[in-house]
Amino acid sequence: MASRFQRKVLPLIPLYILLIAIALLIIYPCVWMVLTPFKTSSEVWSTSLRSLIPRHFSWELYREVLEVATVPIWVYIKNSLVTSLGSVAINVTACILAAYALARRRLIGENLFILFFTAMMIIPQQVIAVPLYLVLNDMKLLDTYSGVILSLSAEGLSIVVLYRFFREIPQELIDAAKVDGATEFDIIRRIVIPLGWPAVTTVILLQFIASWNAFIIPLVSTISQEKYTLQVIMAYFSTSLYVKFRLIMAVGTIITIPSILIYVLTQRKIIEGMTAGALKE
Amino acid sequence: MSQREGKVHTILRKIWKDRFGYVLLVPALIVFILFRTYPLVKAIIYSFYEVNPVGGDLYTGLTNYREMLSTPEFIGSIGVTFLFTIVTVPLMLVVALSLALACSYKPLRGKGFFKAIFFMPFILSWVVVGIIWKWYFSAKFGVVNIFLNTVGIPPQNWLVDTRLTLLCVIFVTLWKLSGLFMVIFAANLQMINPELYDAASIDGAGSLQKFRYVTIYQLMPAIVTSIILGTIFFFRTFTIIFIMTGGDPAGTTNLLAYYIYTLGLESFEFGYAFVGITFMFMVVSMILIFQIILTREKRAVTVYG
Repeated sequence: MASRFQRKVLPLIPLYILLIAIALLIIYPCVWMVLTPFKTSSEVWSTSLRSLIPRHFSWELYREVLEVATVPIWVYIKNSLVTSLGSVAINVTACILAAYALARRRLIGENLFILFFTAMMIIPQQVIAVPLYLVLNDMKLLDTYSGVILSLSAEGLSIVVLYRFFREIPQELIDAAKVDGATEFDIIRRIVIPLGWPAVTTVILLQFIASWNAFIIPLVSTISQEKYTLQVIMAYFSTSLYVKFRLIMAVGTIITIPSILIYVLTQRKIIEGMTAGALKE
Repeated sequence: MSQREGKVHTILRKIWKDRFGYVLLVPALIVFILFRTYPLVKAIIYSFYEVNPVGGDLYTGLTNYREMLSTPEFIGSIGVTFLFTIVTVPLMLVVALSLALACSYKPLRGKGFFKAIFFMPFILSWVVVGIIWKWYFSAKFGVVNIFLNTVGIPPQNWLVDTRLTLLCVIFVTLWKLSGLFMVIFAANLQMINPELYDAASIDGAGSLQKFRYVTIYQLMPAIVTSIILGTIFFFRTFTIIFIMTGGDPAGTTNLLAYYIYTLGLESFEFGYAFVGITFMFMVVSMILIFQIILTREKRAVTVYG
């Protein structure tokens, strides 16, 4: 028994130590962010490593953020939810239709369309942000939910993920439905969406996280503070980082909870979706 | 001639027959064209104009380009952006590949757990990550200095020292994105046929040779993909600069995407901002064309973040 331990486990110990150290480097800042609002203000300024864990847990600050009107946090939560869910609805609906057409209809110019959508995905949001401000202004969409939602909806990853999945659906099923007199919309609703459900849920989750975390688009397309999303208001606070520190960390925690929850529950889906385009087939 | 007309006719007839398929593309095309293509095209066209947000744009030819090219901040910003990208890409490759190899090591327990943790920063928002690390790197109360102090290294002025700030930005970028590239490598490592290693052993290859001629060789497509993806990711870095440094100190972190934003929406010099955007667009297009040639694939790399 001892020899087996020596042979198999002992050489792995340095590797474990290294990996645990890196894992701590990732987890520590997150835990620290969640715990900071529980601290008293003097503990925040403490310069000892032990001050990670607050001595007396106080819900005071979280309660202040959520209940008292120092920060109208629910307005920002609502703005973030409306824009994220809106962009999920538009992006996923439009992309299901387009991906179905490209994957199953053998259209002339299929590759050209795919190239267009991938190119539009690669063009970074950061590149189009400044002219987007002018375009939204021309369309009278500046500082509106519709402007933010539509700008966030133009994400091409959904099309690529769905396109790949829809190509694998057996043609016989579609043909059989056609013989039974199903319309194209019936086929999408009764065959393509149910059979492509794993891919559909993946793009819903990815699009939600992407728009929930989006920064530059809500930054350029909102003007009045009551239209800011959580990300924008947090960046706005960060200019007075040292004054409002515990409050900022409380908002940061609130921002992070949905993404972490989704990630913990559907981790494999997210990772598979994100690497969809980067795998050799 | 008539034969060609006939061909055009059949194509048109096929398109007409498939019209419902094209109709399905319309919603997606509208959203993408209005909110991606149109702003981009507008920026490129109006880079030749003196833009007046209130109305009355004036065609000025190459004036914007001439003036931008003689602006030291623009040249400096291009320099810093290339430096940042060129340093970060290889570092990211080394970190991500090492993590992927470690997490794919058979006798190791808890591979899935480590992978999940390492990928996690990717789903955090850049704003949150930027603020946490801005505090961590702050000179007086920052956790980084406190930690260094306990191991006997004197505190540094991380976000003020012109030699250190870009390093901080590189570190945070690696912290946030290495997990994504690790996952790409790990998935590709799993697809390597184990028989290749057996065959190499039979040929008398040592473990270093196996690593070089089997692992690295088989990973080459993933490595190329990651280099291109990483280049595009790092080239467009914006939020972290907005939150952590504001381009300071002395322009050492004034990355192009951030510089363009300040030109456009803080100084309202849209014409100048559009010159920067045209430049960025050209670089990204060249990277993509390069990738398509290199990997002989019709599709481009498809990850966003």
